[in-house]
Amino acid sequence: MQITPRRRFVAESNCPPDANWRSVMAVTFFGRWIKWSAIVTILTMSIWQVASSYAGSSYPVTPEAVVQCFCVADSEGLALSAGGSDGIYRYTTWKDAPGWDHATIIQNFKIISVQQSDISAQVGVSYRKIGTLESGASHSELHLQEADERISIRLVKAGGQWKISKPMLPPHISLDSAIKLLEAEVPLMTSEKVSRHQKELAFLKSLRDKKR
Amino acid sequence: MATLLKIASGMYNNRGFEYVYGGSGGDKNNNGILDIDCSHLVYKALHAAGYSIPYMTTSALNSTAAEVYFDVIPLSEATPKKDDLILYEGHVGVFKNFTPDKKKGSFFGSQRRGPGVARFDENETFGWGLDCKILRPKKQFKIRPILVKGSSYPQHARWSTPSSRSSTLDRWSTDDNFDLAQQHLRWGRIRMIE
Repeated sequence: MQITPRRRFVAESNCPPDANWRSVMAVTFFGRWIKWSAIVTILTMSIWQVASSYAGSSYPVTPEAVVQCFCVADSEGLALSAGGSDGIYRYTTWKDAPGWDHATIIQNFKIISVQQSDISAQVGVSYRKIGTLESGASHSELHLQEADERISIRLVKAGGQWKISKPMLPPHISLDSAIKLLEAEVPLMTSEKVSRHQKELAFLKSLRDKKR
Repeated sequence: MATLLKIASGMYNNRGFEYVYGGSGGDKNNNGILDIDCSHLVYKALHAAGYSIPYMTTSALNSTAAEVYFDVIPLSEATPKKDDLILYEGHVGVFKNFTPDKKKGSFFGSQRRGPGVARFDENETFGWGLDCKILRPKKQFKIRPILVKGSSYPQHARWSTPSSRSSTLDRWSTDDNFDLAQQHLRWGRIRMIE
């Protein structure tokens, strides 16, 4: 007797043909559903991971840590150009800031006090100032004046994150950042100005080396 | 007659500039975008408006040295018609307006997002409050007229713009913005009129 392919299938599976067909359909559909769910889940997780590495997860949790991150970013000179400023103003409530024409040069900074409530906080910061850099008509001018500066930084909670709300401080840059700024100006200077500039640079470098 | 505000916003409000410390109109960081900081913007605008006032940083503007060139007036009397400047601790811009009832106003300056209009109010919502100084340039320092398109200013005087981006370079043609115009010319943003 000749067996049709369908009958052979039925014979091998011991199932009624319609039920078996339905189950195969169900298994295939379920399989596809599982596969696509897995793909979507993996994609979602990777997008979330990338996004969180850029924003949320790396944001400091305590007011003290926010101020610490702000001061580090500030000391690197991020507030001195539009390009780097997102890296510093992410810790503040203000969206815009002055196009600063001067900066304070600091040897170091230290967090000296923290007062915190549910919605606001005050963090005291002590800076060891060396002097200021001012953008002159053609190149920066260095004014040396060592002093200690104490500033009380106010923070508020905005969108679940601590943000600095006051004061809008001029940039407090490290010796390294100041040296880089001055060195970048040397090629743009006339020869008579270079010698004075080199002396200032040498002085800042000696201070930096002493610190090390 | 063009005010300092119109001149400043005309020269710099064209997305061709960004803020960089010490930027005075050139491309200091070699990224293809011209750089300007707050005090240089004000200085260049004053110069283009015909004032002979030397460059002063914000701290110099805050000192008594600035009183040689400027009168200090109350915020309530400030007006763009008199070319007033607004000065903060660490920032300077060209005064635009102030509404005493609402205690808010605006100015044009070079901020971290580039030259543009910034707002101030009593709550410092946008970073700037009412604790500011208004500086009015003294008339005796306005020694040159504002040079406009079509004037008899020599050689490099006349420029025109193919787009609205730098629409004002055709109107101001002082020596001071010659370098600026040259750069824009090189980048094809403006063309020279025969």
